[in-house]
Amino acid sequence: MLKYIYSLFLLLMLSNMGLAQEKFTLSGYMRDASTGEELLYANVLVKEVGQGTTTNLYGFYSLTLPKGTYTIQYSYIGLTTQELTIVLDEDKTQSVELGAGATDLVEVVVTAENETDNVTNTEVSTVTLDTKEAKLVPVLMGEQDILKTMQLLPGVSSNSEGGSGFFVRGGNADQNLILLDEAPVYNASHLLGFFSVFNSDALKDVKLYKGGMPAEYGGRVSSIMDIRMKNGNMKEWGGSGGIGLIASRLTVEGPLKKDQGSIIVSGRRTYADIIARPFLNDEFEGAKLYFYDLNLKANYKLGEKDRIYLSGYLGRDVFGTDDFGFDWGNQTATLRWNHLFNDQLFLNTTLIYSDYDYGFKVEDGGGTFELGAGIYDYNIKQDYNWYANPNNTISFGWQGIYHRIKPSEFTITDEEGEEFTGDPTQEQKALEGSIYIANQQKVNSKLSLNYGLRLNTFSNIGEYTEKTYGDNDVIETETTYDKGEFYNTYIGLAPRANATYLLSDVSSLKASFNRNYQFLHLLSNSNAGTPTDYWIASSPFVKPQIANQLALGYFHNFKNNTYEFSVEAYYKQLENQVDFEDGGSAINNREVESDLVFGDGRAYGLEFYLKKNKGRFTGWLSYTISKSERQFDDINNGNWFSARQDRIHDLALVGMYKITPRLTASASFVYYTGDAVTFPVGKYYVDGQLINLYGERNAERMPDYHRLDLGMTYVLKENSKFNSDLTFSVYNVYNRKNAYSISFETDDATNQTKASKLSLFGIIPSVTWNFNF
Amino acid sequence: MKLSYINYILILGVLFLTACREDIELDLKNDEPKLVIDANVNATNGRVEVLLSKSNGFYESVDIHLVNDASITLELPDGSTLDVPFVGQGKYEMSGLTLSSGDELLMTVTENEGKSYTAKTTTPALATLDSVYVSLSTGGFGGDDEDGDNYQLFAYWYDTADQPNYYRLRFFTADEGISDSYNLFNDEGFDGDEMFRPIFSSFNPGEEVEVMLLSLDPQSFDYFNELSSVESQGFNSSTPFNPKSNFDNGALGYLSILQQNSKTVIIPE
Repeated sequence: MLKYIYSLFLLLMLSNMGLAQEKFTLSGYMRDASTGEELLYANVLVKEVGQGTTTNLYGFYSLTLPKGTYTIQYSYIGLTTQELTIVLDEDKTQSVELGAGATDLVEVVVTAENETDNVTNTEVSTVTLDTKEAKLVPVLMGEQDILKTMQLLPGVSSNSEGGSGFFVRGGNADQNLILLDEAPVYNASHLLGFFSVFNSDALKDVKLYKGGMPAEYGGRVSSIMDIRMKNGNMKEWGGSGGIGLIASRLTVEGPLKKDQGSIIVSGRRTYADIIARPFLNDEFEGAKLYFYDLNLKANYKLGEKDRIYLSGYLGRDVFGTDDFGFDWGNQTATLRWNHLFNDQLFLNTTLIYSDYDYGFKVEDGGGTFELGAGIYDYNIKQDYNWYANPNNTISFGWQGIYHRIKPSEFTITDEEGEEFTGDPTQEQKALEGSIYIANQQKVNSKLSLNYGLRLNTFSNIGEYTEKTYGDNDVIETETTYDKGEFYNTYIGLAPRANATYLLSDVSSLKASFNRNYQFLHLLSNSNAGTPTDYWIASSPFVKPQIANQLALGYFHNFKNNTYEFSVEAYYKQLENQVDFEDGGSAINNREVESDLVFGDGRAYGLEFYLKKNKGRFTGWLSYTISKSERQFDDINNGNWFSARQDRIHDLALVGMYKITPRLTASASFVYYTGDAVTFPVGKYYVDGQLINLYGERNAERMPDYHRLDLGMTYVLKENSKFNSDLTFSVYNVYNRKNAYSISFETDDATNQTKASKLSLFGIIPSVTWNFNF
Repeated sequence: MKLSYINYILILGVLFLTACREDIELDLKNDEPKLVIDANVNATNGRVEVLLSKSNGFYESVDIHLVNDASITLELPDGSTLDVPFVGQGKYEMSGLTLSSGDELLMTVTENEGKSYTAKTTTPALATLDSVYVSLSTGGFGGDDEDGDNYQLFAYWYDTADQPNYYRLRFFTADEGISDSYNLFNDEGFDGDEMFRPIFSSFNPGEEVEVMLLSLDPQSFDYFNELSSVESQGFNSSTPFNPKSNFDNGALGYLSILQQNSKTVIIPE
């Protein structure tokens, strides 16, 4: 470890040599002129030297240059570029506010000067979603969903029909870390996965790392999705919202004190149950079925150098009838403090709380049956950005997370009020720690690097009774650890490296290697993701998952950056993958560890992406050809088999056409290979039952999936006070009956066994009215 | 729990009025017919009952394909062997076998074409029912009749200490015959203790119920557990699989040795 750090600094020193000239620092923030929102990843270019930097996650930038006069160009997608002439003869602070290119609600404007950013930056396997653009993509029931739009990008695929869960590069669903203002979100779906928990009105920026993760991120082996909430308008009070078929949204934001602090509150609630009521039979009388989300964020500048942010999220699904209730949801809270030590050193300190829990209750006669479980995280971290010189930006920091996992526990109360508590599965407690250091280095005008190291630790904490299991899952040994005792520690070193080599002004080659560790594992019996999915911590018995990924990419922009093209190849090797043995289940299983099997995985593929950014017609084509396999000694005779999410071909075509300035039409088409599944190859009688004889694990395929959606957005009224638009969308235009599940049963009428498929969503039109004021 | 998900999906489906279920023709692979061995040895009464059949294609008829021309041999702990004679309709049966707790039994089934399959398992310890209580609950759990009274049975017995034990509770009524649900449990956490388990069903007043406590060998306990999990396959369940047989050579089915103890109770009028 020390050796690595030493060589890192050595590299740094080398790049500093020969720079004995007097130097000064230019630093500041970049903001949106209309709202005062900080601009993340915005570009700052020093025209004279053809080099620059980007703002960090808090909109801060810093450049250290030799004394002189410079033309500084500030740019951000969708906003008008500004140029300033700066006489740099002392350290200077220069914050800029960029105005909107147009106030048009639905316009997709790309006016950024640094249009070649996708080619020149050191990011590999990273996708950023433009929330403005995402609004135009037609979606199920008109509910905008960033997770679903992400699924239309290469290497990201949907977990099921209409689902917001996703797989990245053949990884499992639990291998994605979803961060909302730095707080992990453990279950990102509502309504059995048909909607994500992210209300797009409250979001500012979304970035997904499919690979090439910077060293500041860790904890999951397949991807990191960093979602940032809006800060709230610093200039004036305003709001936005929408009324749709199944949900309504309202967001209000404004300054707490102009240009000093702001607040934003955003809420959303579905009313599916109210609309459904007339169609439901008596059995569902009094049925409740809804979810709600509440996002809140406030920030305040304490001075020139300090600013605090408080953000929170609360979401809950409620499902029930008169005598039956089931609810689940996430809560997160993030408190951040930005501090500027000087114009070259930026610090962010964060305190985070996050939880996910569910509860289940049945009332019958006078008695009740209750079951509940949850995961709770307490998290502290510090991230430093040191703008050492124009060629090196160093980030370093540390993080500590205390995890508490409360597994399912049930209580039965009888009619006399007497309580019986089920043998509870033991609570797990653990401390996850990490330190990292990374450098973003411009070696010369052609080569840029981003390299770093992340050291991860994970310790189990008592009190806990650790068991080992022999044949037939018989407990062989039991070791009990005291409360507060650290009884098992894993340490893992994760190197990260990205390189970008410019072949020309508009083309580059990129490469990345990264290793990731994952200490929490989701035990799920299904692919769709359910509220009762169950997290477990690594332990002496359950080893941490490890992924090593290598990616190579070629990036090229054509026709004055009208078209972006990229192709990336990746190979990912996965260790210590966790799965249930045949028949294993998480629900109320005391010895769940004894039902687990451990194995390896591998995934590789080729991703193509072609995007048109300019003109009346915009859109993209994404195509992935890939393979994802697993190997477990106890499954399939130890042979490699396809992971369920092994989709060989995955194609998405998205187009948006601006018919008039007020009318935009859009379409999206998806096609992917059916999931790898296990089907019967025969049937037999045993113990008096007719049972299916199943073939090899995941050797068969669901029917291929394809679907076309259409959308249209019409701007109703435009003035400075109130804007609104109507969005029409038609999901599954040609009414394709895609199979959600296939079941095999005996047809009593014919006395034959048969297969039948369940298809969930046929053609579904919807309309949503969106407004802002 | 599973039912709740199905309801959930149904509500969503009704809501969007678009969900539908339809039959599809899948091009399924047809596996070679496999031998299915359903071998039950009752160490308490010395009965051996084996049913042999073959698996058939998924789209073929549901008729059972019996195997009438195999031979079955038992090897006892003392090394002696016994043949289980064919009695007709795929059945091979015998009586008078003596096995005591801990005895190993080896069964070999040889098909007419010569392929043979072997399983070995151990005789479990007999557990004796201490008592069976009948309890009346007004609208409690498990009853079919929501408004009326329900009778629940509670079976009590003592676990044999210092060894893992595996149990299955079944019951017999004249109306319904023998229960076929897999009411399975082991003695984890209760080694040597008094065990009690409820039997959920709806019984009629005046009915005679024979409660059977079966002690199982670990292999068949696992088999029945897996079988019950495969049986309840539905939406949201685990990847389908075949219960693991204790026979080698790719046979399906199981060899089970059980000990049986019964108690009969009469549901009060």
